[in-house]
Amino acid sequence: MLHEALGACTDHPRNRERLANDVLPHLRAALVALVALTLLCAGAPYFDYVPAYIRTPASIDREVATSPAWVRPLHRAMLTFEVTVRRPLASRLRPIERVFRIAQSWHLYRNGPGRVARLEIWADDTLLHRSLDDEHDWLEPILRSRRVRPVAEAVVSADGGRSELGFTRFVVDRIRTERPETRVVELRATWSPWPGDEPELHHKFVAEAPDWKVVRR
Amino acid sequence: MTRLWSRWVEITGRPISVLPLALTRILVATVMLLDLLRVLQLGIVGDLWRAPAAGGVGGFTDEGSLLVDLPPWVALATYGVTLVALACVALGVATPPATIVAVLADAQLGHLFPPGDRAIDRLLRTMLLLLMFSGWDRGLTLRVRDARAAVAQWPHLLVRWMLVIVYTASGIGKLWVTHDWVGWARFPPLYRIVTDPMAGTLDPLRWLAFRPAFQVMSWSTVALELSSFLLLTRFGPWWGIVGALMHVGIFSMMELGMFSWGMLALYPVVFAPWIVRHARTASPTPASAADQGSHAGR
Repeated sequence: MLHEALGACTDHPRNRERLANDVLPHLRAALVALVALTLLCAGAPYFDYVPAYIRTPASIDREVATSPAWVRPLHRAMLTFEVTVRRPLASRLRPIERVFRIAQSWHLYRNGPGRVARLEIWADDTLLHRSLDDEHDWLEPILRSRRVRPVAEAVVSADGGRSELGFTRFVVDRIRTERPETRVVELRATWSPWPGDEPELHHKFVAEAPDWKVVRR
Repeated sequence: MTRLWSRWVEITGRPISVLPLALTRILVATVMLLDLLRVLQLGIVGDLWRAPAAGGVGGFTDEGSLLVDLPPWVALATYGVTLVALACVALGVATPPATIVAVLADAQLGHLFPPGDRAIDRLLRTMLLLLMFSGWDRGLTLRVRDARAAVAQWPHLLVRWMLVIVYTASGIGKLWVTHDWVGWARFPPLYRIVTDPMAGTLDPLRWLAFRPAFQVMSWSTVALELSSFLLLTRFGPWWGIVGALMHVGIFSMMELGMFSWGMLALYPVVFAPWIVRHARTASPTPASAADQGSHAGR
């Protein structure tokens, strides 16, 4: 029915011309404005950094109290806007973001690491790999590739991330394939204050033959 | 208000050569394609895109993953589908359906191995979705070898707007965590980033003496990111020169894979005024974009 009505409307050349010149440009302009606002809402600079625990009037009061007096009204207005307007709207967009995995959150390189952390890979008593060490660069292209590096970084960080098991297993499998005589594999995280001339072992993941179970020590 | 709206309608529909958008299409799809092929070259496709329970490198998956409970070969097939779809986008073959397939399949790879799916992946997928119906496949494709067509200008506005959001958020985020970016730090943030042994290429001890230079570069980085609103003005291409230099610098001092190239793939839109002018000067015979206004936005 609707299709027939639209067809009748656009069949006439004058109607078609009116649609192309008067209606579609406005529709397009409105859609572009809507998309631009949606992008801004989903990944709004500054607002996106407001911690999730600020969600009640009391938490806003506590947060505002930490800022200088002259800026408090503006600070309060921004946090209130975030909690009551932007965040609820942005959360409505999450299902769409999830399907396409396009979360609009742009936290790029906010700060460098607070310490110099390095990954060392040992097979028995042989050092095979050390981060940024040309003399010990086994598996270097893989470990520094952009997709694997975050996992390696998680392994050398304090909590080990959630991928230490899979990553250590991956390294152990590679070593066992290339060096079947190996009995112990260790992934060591060394930490040093900047500029990195005092490295100390912070923690390590160890896998030993015959069961090769991964243990953090 | 009516006058403002009329101006907005005119700006969004203003005809412009398809050349910058066609270049963007080719570059974005090619960068993503090469990045995926690099994983194949490293021989770790099956290790990365495999559920943790089945022996994958990643320790977790996202709730959006449809592949986690399926046999490993399905993930490999998804990888293959992503490659083919991206190649179609680059070549301009069945572009809209290929784009949606590429985005959905690539997103599934990201859901299956979240640590390896970074901000640049999210940004490029967003761009593919935004530009899917921009008419960017009306030039430089297998079927249409030239770039004489004109399209409406709205995709340019959205790409530049997106870049402003990303750069501004990035700049504010830096200041949010530390004032070292704009102060005088013992170890400037940029020094720590590019000499981080896990991601940087510079040795922290060897480059210790150059910390003042890194502090100046830290200031410049924040200034550049917070001034990205210039992309929405006629100074956009000039800003783009400095932005492009920053990405080249990041590429030379860090190992971030496709990050720099992915960002630069969007820069044909930033440099669009110059690209269009150069193309018009180099090839004056074809009808100019303005002459083809009636076809704009198809």
